Amino acid sequence: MNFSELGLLALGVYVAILIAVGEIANRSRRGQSPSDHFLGGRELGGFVLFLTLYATAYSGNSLLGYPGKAYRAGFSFVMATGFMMAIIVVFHALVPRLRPAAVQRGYVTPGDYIRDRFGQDRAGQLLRLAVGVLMALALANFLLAQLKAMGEVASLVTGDLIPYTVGVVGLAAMILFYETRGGMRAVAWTDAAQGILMAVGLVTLLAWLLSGSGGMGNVTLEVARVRPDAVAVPDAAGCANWFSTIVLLGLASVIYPQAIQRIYAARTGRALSQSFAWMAFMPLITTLVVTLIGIAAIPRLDLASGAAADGVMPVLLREWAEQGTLGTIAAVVVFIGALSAIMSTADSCLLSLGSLLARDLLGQTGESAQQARLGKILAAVILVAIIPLALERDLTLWRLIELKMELLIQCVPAFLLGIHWGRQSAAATLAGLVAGTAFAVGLTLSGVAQWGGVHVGVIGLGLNGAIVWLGSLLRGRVSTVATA
Amino acid sequence: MPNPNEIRPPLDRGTPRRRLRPLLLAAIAALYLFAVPWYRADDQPLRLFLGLPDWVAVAVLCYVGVAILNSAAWLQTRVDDHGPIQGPVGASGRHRSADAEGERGAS
Repeated sequence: MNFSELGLLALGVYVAILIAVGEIANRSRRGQSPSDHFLGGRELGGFVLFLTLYATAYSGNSLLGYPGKAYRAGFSFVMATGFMMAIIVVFHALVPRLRPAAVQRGYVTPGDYIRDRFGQDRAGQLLRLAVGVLMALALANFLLAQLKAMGEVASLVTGDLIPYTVGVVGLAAMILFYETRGGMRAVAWTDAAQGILMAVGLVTLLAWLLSGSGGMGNVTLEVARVRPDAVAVPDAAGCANWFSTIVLLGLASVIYPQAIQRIYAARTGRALSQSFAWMAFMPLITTLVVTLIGIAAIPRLDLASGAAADGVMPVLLREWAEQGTLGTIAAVVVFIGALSAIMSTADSCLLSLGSLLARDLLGQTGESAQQARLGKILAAVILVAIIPLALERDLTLWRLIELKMELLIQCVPAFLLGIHWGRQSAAATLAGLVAGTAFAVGLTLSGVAQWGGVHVGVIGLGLNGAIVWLGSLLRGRVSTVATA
Repeated sequence: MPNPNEIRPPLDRGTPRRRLRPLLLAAIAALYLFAVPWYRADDQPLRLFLGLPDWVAVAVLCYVGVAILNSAAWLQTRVDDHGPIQGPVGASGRHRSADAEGERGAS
């Protein structure tokens, strides 16, 4: 049996397991309420919570986009380890205050917090809507990236036995099936298995790469010989970009709707703290590993620098598979691990998207079963609408991540500032969000992604924050004068 | 459901455990600053350390430090599900509760 056939068989087994988990999760339901479907009844214990956080945080972007970026950028992409760690650091500013409020007031979506914090007057409602729209766009973007990654992996590793189009459509249908049947329980349980597969697969792949190249020192010397720029100390703009990327991804990733919903879904606050304590180490065995894999590929592969570089991982897997039976089996394990990382992120996006559309955009509240049903239908509609876009293969995965983050980061003041600063008003937060988004999107659409290495989303956040701060102070003074 | 009459231990705001957390977070911020090689000239020849360019090795060691300190900080973090809701969200709830009381009283 060759690599492609073995890959196809493993894929079949994997998909069958996903379907079974979806069914078991469906039978474990305690009801049809939104909290049961979207948050697993708020019963995720420490270990499952940790694995679902891990599998959701590390996605197709991490597995395909990051090695591709490391292959293109060289050692300076070690910054990725920093920004993935920054996410767990920034959560310190959010979790201790958000979690008790979520438990005591029954939050299901990020919009429930906005409703609670900023009130239900006109400005508060518009703010909830604006945050919901940005989050839904970011989630749809993220889902799109995962669908593209699923198609790439399925096509490249099965030697086109499963063509890109079939991979995208077939695996998307699979996710829709088990997510609709089992909700957050199915997502969390599959994430747990997917997280373990991914970590084992990546570490094994790096070990193979380094042992075959005579160790990391030899790899570095080879990279320096082939591409001297890849080992050079970054210049001033490169360092500014390093800081900017940490700010952009560290802040924006914290308010991923699916991450916020896992804060709500934990069984206890203690389980949540412990999960984050373990998560703090995961960038070292995931992001750093995929970065080194991308760098180790520089002297081995000669890929074009655009979207083709996203194929670094699958090409390496095929090369590994040609080393004999053991290599073939190991490469298939990595392949399934990579695919599972991608699918675990896609299913979380889809689940969050359904809840966000039903509650935050359509304004549904309460715990009715009808609302959970509406969320499922809306998620399915969005998935079907995104698939044609996923069939377009030109955009690189990394650019998709950045576009999403530039939108999401504009919601940061509503959460990270709003949960601490009592004077922050809904109107000022809305004004800041609109201005920051218009600035970032306007410049991105006109072809300016960065200024001096700093992302336009980060500059937009500066503008956004300044408006929130000044507007809230001004509004406070006006209110005081009016009261007097 | 939490029992509102339940006697809870006082918040450990002033304990050494509580004071340690900001120190850990400050140390993490310092490591983040040091990980980026802004203080290095960009035309230096390649020097290896731990098999990596030395500036990369420094960044990786800083991030290992961040992981250890951050994990310790999370273990020091008490997330009390049923304790008082701190900050503006708690205040908004109190206002709402007072409004609700008023409405009930009026009816």
